[in-house]
Amino acid sequence: MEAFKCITNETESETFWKFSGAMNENFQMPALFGKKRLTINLKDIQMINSYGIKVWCKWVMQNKLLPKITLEDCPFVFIKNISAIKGFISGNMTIVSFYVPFFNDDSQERKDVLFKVETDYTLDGFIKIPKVTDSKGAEMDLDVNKIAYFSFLKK
Amino acid sequence: MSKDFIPIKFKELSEIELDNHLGEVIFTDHAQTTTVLDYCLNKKINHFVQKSNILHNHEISVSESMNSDPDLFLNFPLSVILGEKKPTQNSENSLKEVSFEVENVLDKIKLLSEIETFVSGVTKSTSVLHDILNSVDELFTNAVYNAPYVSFDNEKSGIDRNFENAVIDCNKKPYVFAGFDQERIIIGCKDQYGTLNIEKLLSRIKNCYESNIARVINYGTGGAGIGAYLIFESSCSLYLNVSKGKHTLICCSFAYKLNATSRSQIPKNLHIYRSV
Repeated sequence: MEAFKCITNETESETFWKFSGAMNENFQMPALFGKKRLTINLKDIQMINSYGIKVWCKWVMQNKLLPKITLEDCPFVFIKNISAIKGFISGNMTIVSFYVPFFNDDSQERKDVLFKVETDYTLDGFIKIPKVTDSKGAEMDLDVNKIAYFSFLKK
Repeated sequence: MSKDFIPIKFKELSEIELDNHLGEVIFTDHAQTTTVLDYCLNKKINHFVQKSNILHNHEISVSESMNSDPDLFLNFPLSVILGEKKPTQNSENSLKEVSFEVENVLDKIKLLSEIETFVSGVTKSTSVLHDILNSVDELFTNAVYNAPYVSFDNEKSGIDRNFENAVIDCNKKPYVFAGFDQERIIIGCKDQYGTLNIEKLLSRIKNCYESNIARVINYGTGGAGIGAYLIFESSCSLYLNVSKGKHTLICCSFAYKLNATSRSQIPKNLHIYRSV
């Protein structure tokens, strides 16, 4: 488990943050300057504990009036908290891609499949779940509760 | 089984007369999580076992064991939960896949790495792995940042969560362990403070289920106050053994063989033992 890191990239109109590691006791949200568009890439977040949830939710509440926040490549550990924690994301946030874990108990293989908005789902709740197979061609099951995991798509 | 143990009969929740419940075990089915919490919190039920949860016969035996011989559960929790007929130190040692004494706050990284290695050897499921890692993280946090610092009423959360704050008494090191059988992975954590207030804990978990959690979170110093909820929500059975001022033992089980949907829908068991 790696410590939390954030790589920042600023342009005139947009701020880009790439998070990695664990959102836990040593996690702090980076400072945000101005009211530019913000994109956060969460692909390499490995874990979010209750303290990380607290820090994140506090920041979400404080920034719910920002014009637009785009969340991309959201991993399982992030999406799972959306259904468990009301207030984990706010109305000004848009998830443009997220990972869905698949698993086959017989082969013990797992795959994280990236779902992209407008290709695999729409923001008003339509979702197309692809057939995912393991290395031997056997079909893999969703490793999440479908209703809960995708509930954030319902407006 | 002790001689005076009354076999528990299955009853629908509506049929159970709470003034005349069998021992302190309710054996029913499909009770919602908030109902389980409500019965244990307000009606002083210590054991709530549900038929559709896995291995309910084992769970009834655990209830009996926790009531009749709490020290046996305290000393050999894996053996009792995993259904060893005669729990001993040997059986406990043979069931332990992870045995970790916490010496300083930075041990969490090492502990989580050991747990990850263990769980990955049992199942490759992403959701099981993350549920267990998160629960161990919360158990560790409670043992290190809360248990030594909170009063018995648990009115306030423990110390702030920065690494420099917590000091571990070398005579009272928290202990984390894990084991498994064909259907369940068990994790547990024992501290030697016995400061966990069970009523407060259950009340806090119930509040998380019934409220907007973002509003329940403690945004001040100390913990978020939702760790216990995260543990209870992701596990299928929770076992609490608290001896005031002496020890707190928290264990939880995860039905790793079930698929994610079934696992999330499993009706929860809750076991409580407290001594003053």
